Amino acid sequence: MATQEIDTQRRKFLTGALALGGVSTAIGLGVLAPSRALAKWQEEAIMTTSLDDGLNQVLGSSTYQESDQVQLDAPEVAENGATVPVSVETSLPNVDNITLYVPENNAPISAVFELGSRARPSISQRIQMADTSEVVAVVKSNGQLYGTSRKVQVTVGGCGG
Amino acid sequence: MSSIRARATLTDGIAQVRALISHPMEAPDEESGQPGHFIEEVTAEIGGETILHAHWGPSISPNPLIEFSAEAEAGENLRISYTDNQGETDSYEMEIS
Amino acid sequence: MRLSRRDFLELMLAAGAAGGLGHSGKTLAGSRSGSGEWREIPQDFYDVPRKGNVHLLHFSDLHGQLKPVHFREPNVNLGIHDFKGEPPLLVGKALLRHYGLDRFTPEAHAFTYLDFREAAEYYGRVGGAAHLATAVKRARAERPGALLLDSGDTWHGSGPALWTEGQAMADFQKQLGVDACTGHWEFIYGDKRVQELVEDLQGAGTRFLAQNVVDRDWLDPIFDAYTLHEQNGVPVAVVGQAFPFTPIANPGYMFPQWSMGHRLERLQEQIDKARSDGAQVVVLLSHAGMLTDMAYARQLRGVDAILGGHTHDPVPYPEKVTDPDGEPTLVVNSGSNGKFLSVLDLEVRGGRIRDFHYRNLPIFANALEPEPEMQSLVDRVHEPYQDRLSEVVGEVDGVLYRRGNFNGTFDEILARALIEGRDAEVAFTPGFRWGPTVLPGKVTFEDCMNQTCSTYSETTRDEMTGEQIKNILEDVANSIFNEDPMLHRGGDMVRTAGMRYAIDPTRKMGERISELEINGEPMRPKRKYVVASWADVNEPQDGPQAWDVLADYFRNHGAVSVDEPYLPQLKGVSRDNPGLAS
Repeated sequence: MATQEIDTQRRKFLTGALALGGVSTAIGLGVLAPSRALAKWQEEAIMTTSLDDGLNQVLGSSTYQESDQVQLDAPEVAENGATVPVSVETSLPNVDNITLYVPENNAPISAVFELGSRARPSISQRIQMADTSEVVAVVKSNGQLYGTSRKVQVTVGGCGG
Repeated sequence: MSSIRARATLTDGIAQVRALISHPMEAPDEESGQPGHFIEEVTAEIGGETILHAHWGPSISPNPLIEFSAEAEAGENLRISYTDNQGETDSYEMEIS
Repeated sequence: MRLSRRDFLELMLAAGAAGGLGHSGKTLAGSRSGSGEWREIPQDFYDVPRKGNVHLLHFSDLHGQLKPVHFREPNVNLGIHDFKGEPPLLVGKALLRHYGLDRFTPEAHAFTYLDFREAAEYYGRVGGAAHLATAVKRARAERPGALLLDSGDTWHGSGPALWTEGQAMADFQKQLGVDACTGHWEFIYGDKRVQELVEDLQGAGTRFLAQNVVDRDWLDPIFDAYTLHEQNGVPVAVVGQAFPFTPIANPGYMFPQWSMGHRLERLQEQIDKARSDGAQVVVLLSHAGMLTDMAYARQLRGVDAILGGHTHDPVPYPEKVTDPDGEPTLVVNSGSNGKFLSVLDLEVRGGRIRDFHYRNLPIFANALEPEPEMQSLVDRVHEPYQDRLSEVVGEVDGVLYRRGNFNGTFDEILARALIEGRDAEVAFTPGFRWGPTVLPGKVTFEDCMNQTCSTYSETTRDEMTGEQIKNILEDVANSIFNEDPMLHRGGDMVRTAGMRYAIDPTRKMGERISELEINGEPMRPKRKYVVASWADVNEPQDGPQAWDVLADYFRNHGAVSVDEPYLPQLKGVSRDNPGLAS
């Protein structure tokens, strides 16, 4: 039998996760040339590959107190690692910041939300995940940090049924 | 047409807002040196008052979707706007009812 | 909570069908004396006297099989952790023992793999739309107003189903008078086609229900969640739950705007809404799989019965699961391929279920006259494709079956065909649970279609690293053997050729697979291997169709010898696991 071509046109194989890995390695490599000045903390925190550095810049600390008053909702298995719906809600008072991060992403900090006084501490956002990871939500309530995490599986898929 | 679409439902003085932005949210590419194309900041205002500043990186999904809620009254104006890393901006306004 | 053996035997006595209780009188089928040990199908096998005042008829996972087939149940269907030895994860003698059934009986052949070849020759084929229709007609004649419910995987699985983009099967559902159905493989025809067929069904009074399919941006429901029917003055709600993991297990790009998932919160809302609409009985028509249905039953309030499919785990008797309020929920699974019709009679008085009666009736084609109108539909549907389907592509000297956690003889050949046909070092073939069984003798193109047909059956040929190969094995194992049934995506372990491995199902993600060897050498994580596969869920492919690769293998080899399928070395599971028989 004649040797066959490898299906080189395929960008992804069975593994959505592997393909997404390509996205994540492209993130946060310092090649960004922003066209306008950003608040320094924001640019660095969002782009950094160091989770601790990013959290220190955004929240002033990289640690938080685990709290069951922070509810984090995310699918146990992502339908698509490129769009994972995540919701955070808290019953804690005086919340002015909600930060979402994914430790396994190359640029781990996904989003930082600064809340005005009329806002309720409740945010939903779709994020990208390169691989199975914890998703962490931290809220700042009365200047203190509280948070919780949930594991989201990013799977190769297929083979059902 | 705005690249932003939003829905707001008002229940007991709380507006629940869901907004969808048509945007590629391209990550910067190391090899080609391309800076990528992604939204960096989203602002939501109700009645002229800032409700939310969201700071995003490229790990936010393409065609991003965000949902938030705030105290509001019927008839108040909701304004959502964004700025991306190429300096492009867009905004969307609607009346909360 | 499990039904006591006494309850079960009483029921079987009442139904006159217990294999273990002896049977005299005339018989319907099974005239060959054979070794003389097979019990014939009793003449009153399909006489199921009406009980109660609410009647539900149910089937599932027909997978496009309009003609009678053979279907061998698995000899490996493992329950691990909390589920070891629990229904439906019982095989062979352990299943018979659990339900008090005898070997060498019609039930033993229907529910187990035991003595498969001899039993299949003795009892003949199972299922068939026209034979199922006769059973439905009889049950309905006794039960005017009975609801006929279909848990899905109906539109897919055969050449005619595929080539008519599901129309043949929607026509079958309309003709049979299905009241409500839900879906999984239905979605592989794409969002637009699904909507067309749903509309077509709706016009004939067949409702497609799926509370857990929503617009991925706005979360608006795509389909109706439930319907209300009245039977003998009792309002009955049927709520639909489509397969929650369809966008992961199948190509999500074919319905890019639809998101699924369990959506239990919304499901509970729909149940509550149906109750406030006056429903006294709430039935969940589910395609989540039996173990997941049982997990639902533990979490949801106000569900009386879950009629399920997906995992192709037929059970002779419902599981009774206690809900958060301490109330019972009956969980039923009606198997696959048209092989079973469940008949569930409920006695409802004062708004509450007082008692129930159940039969999971095996459909033996030789024991049921084909219903003429349905038979003509079956003939009409096959006619344009008959020449193509009836081509004899080869011959086999053993039974070709698919089901089993790790491999089957048909997949063994399919994996070899992929290696040969796509010139690869190793092959993966998905652990699908559909695909009928073929007895020794001729293999037709139809048999090849039945094992491989879908809208994304193109074969692929890729380079993958050893590490990627291992990750795929780990990922699939983490679905099938996950200790949390809410994470089960269905299917069996991906089948392989060109590699050997050991698996410990009891361990965690990333730790189950070991001793991976590729072509006799230890797997090298960084080395690239040429891998053939099919049914990619990530994007459209353009390689040769899997059915052609499989048919060509038979055509090229003529007579194919059926060997024992390769099974990975099993660790962490004791030989006495009731889901394991050799």
